[in-house]
Amino acid sequence: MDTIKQRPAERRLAKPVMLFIFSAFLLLGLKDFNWFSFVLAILDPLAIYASTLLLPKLFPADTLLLALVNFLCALGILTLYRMDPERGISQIITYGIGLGVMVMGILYIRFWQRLKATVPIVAVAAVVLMALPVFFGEERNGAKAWIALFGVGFQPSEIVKLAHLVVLAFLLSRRRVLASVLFAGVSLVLLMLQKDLGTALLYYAITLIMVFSATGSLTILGLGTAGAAAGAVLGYSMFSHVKRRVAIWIDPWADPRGSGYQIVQSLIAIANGGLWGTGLGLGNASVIPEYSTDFIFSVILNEFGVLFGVCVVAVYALIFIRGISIAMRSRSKFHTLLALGCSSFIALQAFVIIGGNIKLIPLTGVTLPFVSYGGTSLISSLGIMGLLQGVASVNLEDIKEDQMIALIGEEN
Amino acid sequence: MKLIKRNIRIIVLAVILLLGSLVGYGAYSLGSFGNRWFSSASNVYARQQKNDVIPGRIYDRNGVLLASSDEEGKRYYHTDSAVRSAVVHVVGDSANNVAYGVESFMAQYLYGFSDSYFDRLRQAFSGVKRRGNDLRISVDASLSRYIASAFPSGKAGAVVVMNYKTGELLSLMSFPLFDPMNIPKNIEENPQKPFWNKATRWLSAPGSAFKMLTFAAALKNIPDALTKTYECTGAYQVGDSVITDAGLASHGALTLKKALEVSCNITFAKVALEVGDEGMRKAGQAFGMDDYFLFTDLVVENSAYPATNRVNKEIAWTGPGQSALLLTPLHMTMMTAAIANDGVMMEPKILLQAVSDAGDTKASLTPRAYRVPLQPFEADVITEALRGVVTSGTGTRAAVSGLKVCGKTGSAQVSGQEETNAWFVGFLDEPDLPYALCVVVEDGGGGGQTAAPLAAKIFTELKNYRY
Amino acid sequence: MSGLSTPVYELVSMGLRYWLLFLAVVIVWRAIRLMQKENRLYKKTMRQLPDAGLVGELVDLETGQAFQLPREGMIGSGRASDIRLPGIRRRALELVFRSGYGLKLIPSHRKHHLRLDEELIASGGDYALHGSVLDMGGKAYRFRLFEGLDVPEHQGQSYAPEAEEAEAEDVWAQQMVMQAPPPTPPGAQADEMMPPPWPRQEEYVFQEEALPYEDYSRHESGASDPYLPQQEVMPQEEEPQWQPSGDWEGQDGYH
Repeated sequence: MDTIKQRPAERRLAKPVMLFIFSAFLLLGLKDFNWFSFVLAILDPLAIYASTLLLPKLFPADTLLLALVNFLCALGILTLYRMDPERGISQIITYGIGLGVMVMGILYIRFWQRLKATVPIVAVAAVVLMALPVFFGEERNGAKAWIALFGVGFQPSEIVKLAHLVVLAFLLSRRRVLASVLFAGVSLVLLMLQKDLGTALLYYAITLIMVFSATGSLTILGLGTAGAAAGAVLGYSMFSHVKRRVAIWIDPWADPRGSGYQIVQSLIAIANGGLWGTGLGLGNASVIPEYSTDFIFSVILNEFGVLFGVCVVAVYALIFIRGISIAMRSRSKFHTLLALGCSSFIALQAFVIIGGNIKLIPLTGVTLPFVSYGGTSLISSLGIMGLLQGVASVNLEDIKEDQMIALIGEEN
Repeated sequence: MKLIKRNIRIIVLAVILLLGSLVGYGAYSLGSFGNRWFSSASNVYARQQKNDVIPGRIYDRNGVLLASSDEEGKRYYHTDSAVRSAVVHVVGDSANNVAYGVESFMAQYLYGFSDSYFDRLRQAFSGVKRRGNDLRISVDASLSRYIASAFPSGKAGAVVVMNYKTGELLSLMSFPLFDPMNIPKNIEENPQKPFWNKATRWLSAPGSAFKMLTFAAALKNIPDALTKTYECTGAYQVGDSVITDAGLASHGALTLKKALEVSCNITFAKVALEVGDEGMRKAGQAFGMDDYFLFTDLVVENSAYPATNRVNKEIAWTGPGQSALLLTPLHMTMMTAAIANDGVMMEPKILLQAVSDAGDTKASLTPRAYRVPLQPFEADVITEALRGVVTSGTGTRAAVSGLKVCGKTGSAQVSGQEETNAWFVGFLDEPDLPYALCVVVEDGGGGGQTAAPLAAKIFTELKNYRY
Repeated sequence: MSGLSTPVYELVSMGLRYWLLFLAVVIVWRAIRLMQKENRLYKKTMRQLPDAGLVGELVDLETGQAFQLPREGMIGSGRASDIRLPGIRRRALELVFRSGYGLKLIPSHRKHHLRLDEELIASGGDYALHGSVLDMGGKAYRFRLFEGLDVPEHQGQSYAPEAEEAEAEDVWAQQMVMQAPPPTPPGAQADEMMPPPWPRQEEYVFQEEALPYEDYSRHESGASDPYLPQQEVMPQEEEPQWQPSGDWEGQDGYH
C-alpha cells in the first residue's frame, strides 16, 4: 500500500497555510529585493509541509492540530522576520528545536507505561527549577523570573509548565487531590516570590480547571474563584507594580509618554491597522516596546488588520476545541486530564496576553503561544503541544486496536 | 470518566466565552474609540503618512477657504488673521497644539486614510501626489470673526452657537484666541491657556444659568409646579449655610416662572431640596450629565453631577447652579438647544461634507438626536419662562427688537476670582433662525451685564445675515 | 539594496492584505469543516465498535442485567456515574483497569460496605478478576471481563467455572442485556467494517508490512491481545522497574 499518499483532507488545510507563507515572504522579498526572503518563501512552506504531513508518518498524530499550530508558528516567524530579520531567523532555529521537544513530548506519553515511574523525579525537578530564579534570578520587567545559563537566558517557569501539567494530571487521576493542590501551591508560591504574577495567574487557573474536572466539586470551583479574587486584591495591595499596571490599564492616556506609553502605542497601532491592516511591511508597530514578545498580537493587528486578528483568535479557539475532543476521546483519566490541561493552558495564555494588548485586562508578563519571540516560550508551547499530541496518538492507537480486534473477531 | 467529561463541558463553555469576549470587546473598543486613538498626538505613524499625502482643504459652511496646503505640504490658513484666529480652536493648527481640532480629529478624511483601495490605485495611476479629501465644516467664519471682535478683550471665556434643529455648530470659540500662523514664543506661559478649547474641555459650575435645569426637574417631580409659590425672604438657612440672592434682594412670593425671571436663588434652592438629590440627578442625567460623550465629530469632556452623599446645604446650592456641578459651555448649549427644539437634544456636529479630489462624497452631515430630556409641553413651558427672563427679567440686555429671544443669565462664583463668571445661555424662538448659544466670560461680572449684551449682538448678526 | 519603489510596494502590499486575509479565512473555515467531518466519522466508527474502551460487563446476579464496564470509571447513584445503580451512595466505587492485575476497585469512602468475593474491599483498592463477585447495596454482581485482556486467573472458590458458564448462558438466554452485544469480540457487525472507516487505517498498514515504528506503546488497552497474529508478544513488563516504597499507587489516604 502506498504510505506516502496523504489524506486529501489534511492536505486541504496544509495548502492554504503554505500558500499564505509563500505569498507573505514573497511580498517581503519585494520590499527590498532581499534574496533571503525569497529563499524563505520556498523553504518555510516546505518546512510546514514536512512538519504537518510527514511527522504523522512516524507515529499517529493529530494532523489538524499540527496544521493549526504550524500556521501560528509560521505566522510568528513571518511577523518577527518582517520586524527584525535577526529575530525571525532566531525564531526559525528555535522552532526547529521546539519541534524536537514536541516529538519528545509525544514519545513521553506514548511510553507512559514505562515512564510513569519518573513522575516523582519530575515533580522534584520542577520545584527545584522553579526555585532557581528566586535565588539566582535576574530582574526583568519587574519580575525576577529569568536565569542565565551558559549565556542564554531562559525562564524556568515556562519549562516547568510541562512538568506541572503531567504531575497534576497524574496525581488527580489517582484522586490524590490534596497532593496535587500542595504541589500546585508550592509552584504558585515560588512564582509569587519571583513576582511573575501573570504566569502565576495562569498556573492557578489551570490547576483550578484540572481539579474541578477531576472532582466535579462545585465548592472547589467556588472557593477557587473566590481565592483568585482574594489573591488579586491581595496582589494589588501588596505589590506596587501591580498598582501601577492597574492604573495604566484604567487610563493609559493619563501619561501617554511615560508609563502608559506601551498600551497607548498598542492601541494606536491597532487603530492604524483598522479592519484590513496597513499592509505587510507598511506598519509602524516597532514603536511599541516589547513588540516581539508581549505585544506581537498588536503587531499582527497593525499590519494584517482586525479581521485577520479575529481569525487568529479563532485558530486558538479551534486548537482548544480540538484538544478538548482529544481529551474526551481518551480512555484513561490521566490522558483526559492531561489533554484538558494542555488545551486550557494554550487557550488561557492566549486570552490573557491578547486581553492585555487590547486593554481588556491589565497587562501581564505572559507571551502569545507559538507566535511570540522567545526560546522558552516557543519551546514550552510546542512541548505542551507534544504532550497533547501524545494523548491524541495514544487515542488513535486505541481505536486502531479496537478495529483490529473487531476485524480479527470477524475472521474467527 | 463520565464525570470528568461532564465537568469538561462546563470548562469548555467558560473558555470559549472568554475568547469570544476578546473579539466582542475588541470590536466595541475599536469602533467607539478607534478614531480618537488614531487622532491622538502620540500617533507617529499618522504623522509619517502625512508626508505622502497633500492634506485636503477645509472650507467653512459658505465655502470660505479656511485651510489649504501647497505642493510641499505646507499648511496655510485664512489670509485674514482675525478670521483664522477666530476659528483656530475648531480648525486646529498644523502643529497639533489644539487637541482634537478638525486638522487632527478628522485626519482620516484630510489625509485620505480611509480611502478605499480603488481610490489609492486611481490616484497612483494619475501620477500626481495623493490628495486627501476636502472638508466643508458647519462653522461660519464671518460670524466667528464678528464674535471675536465683540468679545471683551483680555478676558478668557467661550462662545458656542448651535443650530438646534440639526446640531450644527456655527461657532465654537475659546478665548483667548491665537494666530496659528504666528504663534507667539511664550504662549504656553499664558495662564489663560490659549491652546485649550474651553468650549469643549473646560468644566465649571454655570451658576444661575443652571436654573433652567432645576426648573425642568421641578416640572418633572413637583405636581403643581406651575401654580405653586415660593416665599423668598432674602435669606434662607440650610444647615450652616445661608442662601441669599444677588444684592440681598427679597422677592416675596414667586411662582417658578417669576423666580426664573428674577433669578431667585432661594426659590431654586428650595426646589432642589424639594425635588431631592435623586430627582435632581436624574434630571441632570436626562440632559446628558454623567454621560460618556462619544460624538463622531468632536471630543467633549464629560459633565458630572456631584456624586457623593450630600448634605442638604450642598443639595440646596445645586439648585441655583453652584455646588460641585461640572459642565462645559458646549453642554450648556446642548441643553439650551434641547429646550428650544421641543425637548429633543441633537448631537453636536461639525462636518458637513467630505469630498474626494475626484468629486465623490465620502461623508456628509446626518443630524442625530442624542437624548430627549423633555416632553414638548415641558419644553414649551420652559421656553415661555426663558422668554420672560429676557422681556422682564435679568436678561433684558439680551433682547433684540423683532426677535423672540429666550435665555437665562448666570453669574457663577469662583473661588479665587474677584468677579463672577458671566454666563448667558439662550436661543431664538424663530422658525427660520433656529439658533441657540452660550456665552461665558470668565471674571466678567454679572451675566446680565456682560454676557447678555454680547448674546444680543450675536443674535442681531444672525438676523442680519440670514443663513 | 534596492527594492520596489515605496509607492508601488505600498499598493502591492495593500492589495495583498485582502489576499492574506482571504487565506486566513479559508484556513479557519477548512479547519472547522475538517473537525466536523472527522467528528462525524469518529462517532460513526465508535458506533460500529460498541466495545471500544470497555473491559467487560458487570452482571446483576438477580436480574441478569448487565452493565458495561469502562476502562476507568465510577459506580454510584449520581447522574454522572458511569454505572448508575440505585440504593448506593452517589459516588460509591471507582474502577481502574490495570493490565496484568485486573480491574481495580477503589471505594470512594472510608466507611463502606462493599465486598469483593466475600471480603471487605481494602480502602486502597482490590483487584476484581473475571468471575469476581461484588456485594454492593445489598445486591450481588459478577464481573465478566473480555477474553484477551491481560488479567490473572480468578482463584474462584465459590463457583466452579462450568457452573459459571452455565449461569452466564442462562443470563443471556433471558435476553436481559441492556446495551452492547456479548462480551466476546463482536463478529456480527464485522461486515460493515470492511473497509475500515477510520481514515488512519490506510496509512498504518499492519500485519503485512513491517511497522516502521516497531515499539508499540504500552498503555491500558489490550495490547497484548493474543488474537493479534505476528505481533511480538510483549513481555509482562507492566510492573515498574523499581518498586518505590512510598508506593505511588497510594496506599495511604484516599486513592
